[in-house]
Amino acid sequence: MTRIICTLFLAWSSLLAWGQSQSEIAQMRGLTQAPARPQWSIAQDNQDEFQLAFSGMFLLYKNFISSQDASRCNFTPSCSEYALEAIKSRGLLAGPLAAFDRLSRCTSVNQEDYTRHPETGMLYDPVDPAEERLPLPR
Amino acid sequence: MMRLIWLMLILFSWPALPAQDLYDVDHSLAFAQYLYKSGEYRLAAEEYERVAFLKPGDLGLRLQLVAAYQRAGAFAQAQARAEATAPPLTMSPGLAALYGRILIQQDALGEARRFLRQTDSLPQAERLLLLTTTELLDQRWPQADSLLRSQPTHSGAPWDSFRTLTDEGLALKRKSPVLAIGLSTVVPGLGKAYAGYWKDGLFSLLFTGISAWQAYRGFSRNGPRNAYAWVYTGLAAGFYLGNLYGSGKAASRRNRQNQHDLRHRVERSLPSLF
Amino acid sequence: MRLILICLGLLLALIGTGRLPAQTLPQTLAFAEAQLALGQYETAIKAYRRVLYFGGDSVGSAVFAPLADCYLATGQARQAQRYFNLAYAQTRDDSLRNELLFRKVAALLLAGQDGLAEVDLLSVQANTPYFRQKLAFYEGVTAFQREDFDRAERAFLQAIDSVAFPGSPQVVRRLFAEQARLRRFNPRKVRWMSVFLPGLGQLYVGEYRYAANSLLLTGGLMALFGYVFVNLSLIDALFSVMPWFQRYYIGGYQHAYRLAEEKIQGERHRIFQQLLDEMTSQIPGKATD
Repeated sequence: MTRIICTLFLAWSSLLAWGQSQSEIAQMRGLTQAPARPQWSIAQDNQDEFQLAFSGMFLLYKNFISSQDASRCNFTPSCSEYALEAIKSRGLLAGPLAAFDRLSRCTSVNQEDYTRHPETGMLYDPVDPAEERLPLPR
Repeated sequence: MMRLIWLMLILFSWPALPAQDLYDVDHSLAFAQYLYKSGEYRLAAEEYERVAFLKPGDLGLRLQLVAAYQRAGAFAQAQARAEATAPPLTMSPGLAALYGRILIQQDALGEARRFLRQTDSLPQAERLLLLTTTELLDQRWPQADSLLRSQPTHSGAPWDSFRTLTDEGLALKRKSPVLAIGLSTVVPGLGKAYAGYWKDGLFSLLFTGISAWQAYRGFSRNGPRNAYAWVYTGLAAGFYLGNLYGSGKAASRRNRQNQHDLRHRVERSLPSLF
Repeated sequence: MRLILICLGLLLALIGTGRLPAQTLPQTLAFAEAQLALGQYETAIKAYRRVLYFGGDSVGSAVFAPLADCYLATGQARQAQRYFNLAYAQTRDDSLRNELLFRKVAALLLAGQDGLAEVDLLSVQANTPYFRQKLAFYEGVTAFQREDFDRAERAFLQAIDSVAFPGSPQVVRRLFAEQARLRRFNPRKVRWMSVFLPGLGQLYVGEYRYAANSLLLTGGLMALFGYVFVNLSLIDALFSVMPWFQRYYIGGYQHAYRLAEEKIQGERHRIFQQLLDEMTSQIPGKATD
């Protein structure tokens, strides 16, 4: 009985000459993606004029200098993102010092001292040590 | 659409349906055990919840429920269900052993220590193992040492590695951030080398040294009204002060790294627990 | 319509098994179906798994395919493939097997396994206009993903209804002609343009801001090199400015290469979406689907 009804149904449906439903086509839409341009959320939510100025410089650097740079930063967050975040979270004294320290560490000879960021694959070195994932013992 | 047709056909053409309720105790329990065995602990816990609700007095079921949550990594829920089954100090040996492990896995080491010291449900060997693990994970090396000394007869895994780790923990020298900064004040990068990051130290020295040398060249050739020299002076100062900041940070990081290494090795010596 | 049918099914199931307490095997199955129709895939998966565990092989034909659909909808492509395979193995009917193959192909495509999708399409028995059209669509999509655009064009031309929509072949041909023209943005060619003149490759792909950016930055560094050379020394210029010039000159043409890749990716995305728009516009009774 099951087979008969099913066959009848299929015979009826086979008379149609159109196979796709709208949802079936919609499912295929995700197969291609438009290229994504980076968004720098760290430059948003500025608390004062200094932060605004540094965020402006950061965006200027990212858009006009960093985009043209052949050498890629070894870290996540990148040195410029780290500098802006350090200035925002540590202030105008300790922030730039943390940024200079980071610049002197961005040498790619110290890879064993860091873990890799799961998304970017770069060395993970956040501003806040609490967020850091230390490497496992060898 | 075809699925619907199928469904209706099955509903009508099911000739000899047994009058079974798939959500009754027996079925849910069988399904929960199947899910547990196939490693789907989160789904198993949901089933055990239903069964435990239908049979509230069954302590064996409660134990399986807690175990399912623990295996699923839902430690907070596992702890809550264990505590809802019995007050910690009156737990059965099986539940108490599970509870002790859950507290340790949750990193509630103070709570674990208190529980393990007070409970008399656990066999002495199990209690000691969990208590020593707690002290080791909490990096309380003298306490771990005295516990291990009180049981000189225990040997083999994991006791031998516990003893090695405790000795290393006791011998561990803490790096001083103040000393690291002091060293880097004298020679840029020396504090980082002291903290064990000698490559970073070397680059601090190079960055500071080259910038300072360029500034010196600029000033000595063109005097103080030279932009080139001032740019390098700024860079040299930045790298030098950044090196001081980084040296203190490097010493703190080394201490954290040492603790992290030991903790990881403790965890590695107890594969059954972690 | 679909919901009404499900509710009717549930009602009939309850009447048919009225003497039983709720939550029997068929009712759990009906519940799973209802959850699937409502888009509550996780709940549906749990119910289907329960039916499968207690019903054993006898319920496989009713459970494998919808369970696979649930996994497909929740992005668990590997599980979806597994259950589509099981459903396929249990089915003897060619038409049903075709439908299962198409759904599996969708799962494979979404999991990025275009090669396997292509192989599975070879098993489709396209013996009716319905299946020929559907096969052509999936062949078109798969060939597009595999960047075999000639085959994709032929397949899409077969998939569209050129009788009811006589303008459609022209649209498809135009889109594939646009795709063919993307060859002019060959990233290696664009990179060489920027090697010869910083910013030229960027200009060619239509990125005017980046073109000016590259030209000004490298030009500025060249000017700085000359200034330091004249006012200080060659060593100072080589030591202080040259590394930066080299870095941004090389970075400029590398960036041009990436921009060309992005241009192709963006245009290809647009073309593919427009092909799907064309297919969607031809669905019979689209408004009520």
